[in-house]
Amino acid sequence: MAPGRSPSRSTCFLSQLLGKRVLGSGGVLGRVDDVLATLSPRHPDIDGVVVTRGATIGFVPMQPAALLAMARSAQGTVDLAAAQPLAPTDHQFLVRETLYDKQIVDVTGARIRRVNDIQLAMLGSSLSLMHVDVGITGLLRRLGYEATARRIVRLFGAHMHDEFIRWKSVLAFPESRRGPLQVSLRQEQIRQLHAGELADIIEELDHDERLALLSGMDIDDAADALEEVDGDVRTSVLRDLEPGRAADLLEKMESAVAADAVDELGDDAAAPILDHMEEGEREGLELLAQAGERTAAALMSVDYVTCPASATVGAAFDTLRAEAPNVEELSYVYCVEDGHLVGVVSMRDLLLGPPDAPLSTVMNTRVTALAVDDPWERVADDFLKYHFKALPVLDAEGSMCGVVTFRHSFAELVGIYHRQGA
Amino acid sequence: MAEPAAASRPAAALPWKARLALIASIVGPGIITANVDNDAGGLTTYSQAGAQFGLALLWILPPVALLLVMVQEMVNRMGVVTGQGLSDLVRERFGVKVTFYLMVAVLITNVGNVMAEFAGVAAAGQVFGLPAWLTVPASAAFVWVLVLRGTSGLVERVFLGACVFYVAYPVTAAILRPDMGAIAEAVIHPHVEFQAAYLVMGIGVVGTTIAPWMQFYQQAAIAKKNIRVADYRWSLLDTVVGCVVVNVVAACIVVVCALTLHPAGVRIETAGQAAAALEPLAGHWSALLFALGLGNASLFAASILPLSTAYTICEALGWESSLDAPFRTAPQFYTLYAALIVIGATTALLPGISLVQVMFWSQVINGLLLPVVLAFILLLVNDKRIMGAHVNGRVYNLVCWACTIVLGLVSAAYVASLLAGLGA
Repeated sequence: MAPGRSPSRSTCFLSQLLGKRVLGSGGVLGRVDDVLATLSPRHPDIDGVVVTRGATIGFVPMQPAALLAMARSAQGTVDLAAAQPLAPTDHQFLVRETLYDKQIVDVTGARIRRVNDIQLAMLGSSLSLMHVDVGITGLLRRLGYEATARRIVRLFGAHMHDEFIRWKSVLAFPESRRGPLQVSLRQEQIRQLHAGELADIIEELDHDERLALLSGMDIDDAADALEEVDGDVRTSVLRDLEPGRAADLLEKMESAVAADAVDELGDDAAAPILDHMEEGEREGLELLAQAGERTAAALMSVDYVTCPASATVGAAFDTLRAEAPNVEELSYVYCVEDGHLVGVVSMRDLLLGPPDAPLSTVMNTRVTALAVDDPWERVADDFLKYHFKALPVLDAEGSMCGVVTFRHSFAELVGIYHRQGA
Repeated sequence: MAEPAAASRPAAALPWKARLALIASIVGPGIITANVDNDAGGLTTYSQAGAQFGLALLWILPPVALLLVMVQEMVNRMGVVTGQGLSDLVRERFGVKVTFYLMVAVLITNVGNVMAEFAGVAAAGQVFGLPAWLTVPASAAFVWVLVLRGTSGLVERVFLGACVFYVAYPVTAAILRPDMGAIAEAVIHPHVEFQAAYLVMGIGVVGTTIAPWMQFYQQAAIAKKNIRVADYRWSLLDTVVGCVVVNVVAACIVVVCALTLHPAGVRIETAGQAAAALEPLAGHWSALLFALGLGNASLFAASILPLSTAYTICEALGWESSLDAPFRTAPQFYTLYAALIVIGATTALLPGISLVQVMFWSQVINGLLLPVVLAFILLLVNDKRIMGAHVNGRVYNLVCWACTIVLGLVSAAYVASLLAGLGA
């Protein structure tokens, strides 16, 4: 992980450009304050430098060779006649302002890092942003101690290792109040992260960065990640997101988690979000929000698949397929008549059953079910005893109102499993 | 607009319980920070002030409390609004060079502070007849295990619990039945003596009460709490209560020493000596309570300072800084943490080094660093890009800058006086 260790002729560092004194035509002195880059499908290309003398003089377009030459010399020369007012387009961004000293996510390593320096390299005919330097060598280079430190380390027969992150793996957070978000939120990068990794990263980010990330990313990925995030962080994010977006996230989230979040938000903060939700989703959440502490209802999800017992196996498959995007646990189809649970069909039953057979012929009628107010101990007992992936939950009238899945209740029940196993 | 959630909730369960839970989730950093401030160095300075000048320096504590509230309020606000720590903001706003040298200064300062805390543990132990070679390693081990093995919730509860022990000082003061009229008189009509020793001690009280590490610690702790801006007033309350309580405790220490040691003409150099000197004058229990307070304060500060320092520095330089991370991914963090404890504890055990010297130098460096940190805070808190609408108001800002300049002068004067005292 040490590309470009020795300075080659076609690479340079941003630190070699920034702050450099430049001589313009007519003996005007200025300093390089920033560089402007244009987004391109792979690596952003450097267009030129922003020169200041006290106030900003302007943007000066520069050729790659001239930029590299300037990085190598003690003082640069720019054609100030070519200077233009600084006006970045939607596809351009200021590299120093956006990235330098800021936190970024290394999506390959799934960690948050701080940018110490940026490596630029010739790529075809343009100078492009290749790597972000997050290592100790970048830090020392900025402080002006790199050469000294390398010499000292070499005395001990060792080498200092660069820590570079490829631009492809960099997820950046420009100050969200301004600046182009498309610099950072490239969906294909976020996709590289698992929901759990993304959750860890979200927890470590600053509040504004969290909002920027969750507003910009795909709604399903965002909901998955948010499910795994610590409750306090989840609440604060939902509260400050745009209510419509927060409502969409709550709808996509596993309903037990969403109900918790609504509860944590409190009435005042939850009301505008709930107003943006679909009627059915909102009622489901309110039902869950009433759940007593440490009861089956508190672990319950209201997303499950039901079919009439008279429907055929083939029809059940169609229903499963239609519901699959919204339902987490697809292992069972619940047969409901007038709201009452009359049987359960497992995925295995469905796969083995003839497509035109009615569900009533393949379903299991000895249903193991929980009551809404069953304590967690009872829930854990049943999972241990029957090894089901999910258990249906019945309300006081015996109507089915939700399911508790083994997977989603595991974190809450693990203490009980542990005690019972011991 | 309908209230769908409210309609379906059991109505009785909400208002005050919900509010209480909210407050409990927000309160902590301010009170903890302020109480840690009454550490070995602070207790020593307050004891000396009481012993040497009686109640004559008591008047300085209310304005100091006000100053402390102002400073801590600003970092508190920055933590709530940005969700970022102070060193994080400094790095993003001022770049790596400034940050690096600031962090070097913070590290040096806090190494000194940690040394002073372990020395305080040793001094408190000696009052109970416990040798330093026992108390110092034991307390280092305690700190290590508590912070590295305990969950953050547990650690915060232990810290909040430790705050209760400061009641030792008001209790000691109450046992002595002080003349409340004389105390009120001393506060309302300050009797300022224009002699060098008096002024130096006054400056010392200010310098030891407002220390640079407090700003870094409180903002980082607040940032981690995800408090929303609308709930800021509770966080503000946390800060104000902390700063007031801490100064009440300081006042009690001054009063105790003023009533006992001052009339007897006892001069002390350490808080441990103060506790020992109290024994014949104020009775066995007062002395033990005083020593207990010192031990608790030192241990408390020794738990927070190494952790806070490691967080601050790693955050600024972009190193992973989390107790949840394994050593492999956060080597700098754990190394810094361990080094601070080991260096602090080892120094306290070295025979040639006295608590007085260690505390003296740590206070000198604190005094030098404070105005610098305050200037950074004011630049950041007034940056609209960072704080948006929550920058300082104009009048408030003027007061803050004035106070910072005054504090800067006071700190400079304090350091100069300490150094002059060294030369004399």
